[in-house]
Order: sequence, then structure tokens, then C-alpha cells
Amino acid sequence: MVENPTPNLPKPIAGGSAAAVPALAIELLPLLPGLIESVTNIVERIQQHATTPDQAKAQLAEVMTHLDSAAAKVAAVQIV
Amino acid sequence: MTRMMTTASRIAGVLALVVALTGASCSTMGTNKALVVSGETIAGIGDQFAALGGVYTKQCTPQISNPAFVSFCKSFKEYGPKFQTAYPLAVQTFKTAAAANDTAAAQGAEKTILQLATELTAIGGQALVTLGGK
Repeated sequence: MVENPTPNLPKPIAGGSAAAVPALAIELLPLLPGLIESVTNIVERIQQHATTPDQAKAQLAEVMTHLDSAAAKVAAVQIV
Repeated sequence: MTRMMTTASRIAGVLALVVALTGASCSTMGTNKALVVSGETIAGIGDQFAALGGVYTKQCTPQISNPAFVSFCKSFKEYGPKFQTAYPLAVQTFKTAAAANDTAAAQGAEKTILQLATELTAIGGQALVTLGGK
């Protein structure tokens, strides 16, 4: 029986060397929090966009109605 | 390894682009809110004019009911037609600006009406003083 010369190294993956995987993980790990934060920000912004533009449009529509009403009242004032 | 880092950079780039685009869209929200505030201000001033017009109709037409209102009636009679001419123009300017998402033009319409509103407040003050003194 042949003894494994490097028992603590990860198993090789297809197309890569055993030594490359931990090195890559070490390089990528610091990027993860930033990526997660970016995705969280995007989700939050998209959630806000699902509601607030419609609310703003509705508010603006209300303002237009209010303006029409005010303009009619202003015109109705009779100054003699 | 380099290829993996390039992929990570691409992902980060795409995310940054998405954040930038959503951020740009969100700045449109600020525009809408500014338009809402300007529009409400213009509409509110119109309402104030109409309310004061009600006082004028009651106290000044067909004739001045109380000598204390002489000054108010005279001032409003001079000022009212100016406001009635300017107001629809400001409303139209605001609507055009709002349709174009042009906050600056909408605020220009608001400014015009605010200038007229200063005089309106002074005339309203005359009526209030008179009513308060009755």
C-alpha cells in the first residue's frame, strides 16, 4: 500500500491544480462582503422602486387636480 | 486564477453599473418630489386668493358694507386682476415643466406666484386686521 505523501491538501479539481484552489479562495474571500453588500443595496433599491415612483406619480396627479381646482376658483372670483 | 479574478472584476463592474443606474433612477424621485412641492405651493396660493376673493365678494360687493374695509376693497380690486391674469399662466408653465420633468422651470413658475403672493398676504393682512378689530 502506497502512503499519501500530501494528506492535508485538497483533492485536485478538473482543470486546476490542488495548490491553486486555496490561493484563489484566499483572493476571493475579501471580495465577498462587498459583493453581498452590493447585492443587498440593489435589492433594497429595486424594492423602493416598486412603490415610490408610483406614489410620486399619484402625488403629482393629485397636485394637477388641486391646481385645476385652484385655477377654477381663482377665475371664479368676480372683481367689480 | 487570473481568469477567475477577471470574472470577479466583471461581476463587480456589472453590479457597480446596476447600482449607478438605479441611483440615477432614484434621483428622478427627487425631481418628482420637488415638482409636488412646487405644485402644491402654487395651488395653495390659488386657494388663498380664492378665499380672500370670498371676503372681497362679501364685504366689498355690490358696495362696501363697512367703511373699515375701504382700504382692503381698494387694494384687492387693483391687485386681483393682476393675479387672475398671472395665475393661469403660472399653472400652465408648471404643467408644461412637470410634463418635461423640468424642476427649474416649475420652480420658476412657483417663484412668479410667490412674488404675487407677498402682495396677497399684505392685502389679506388688511382684511384680517379689519375683521379682528370689528
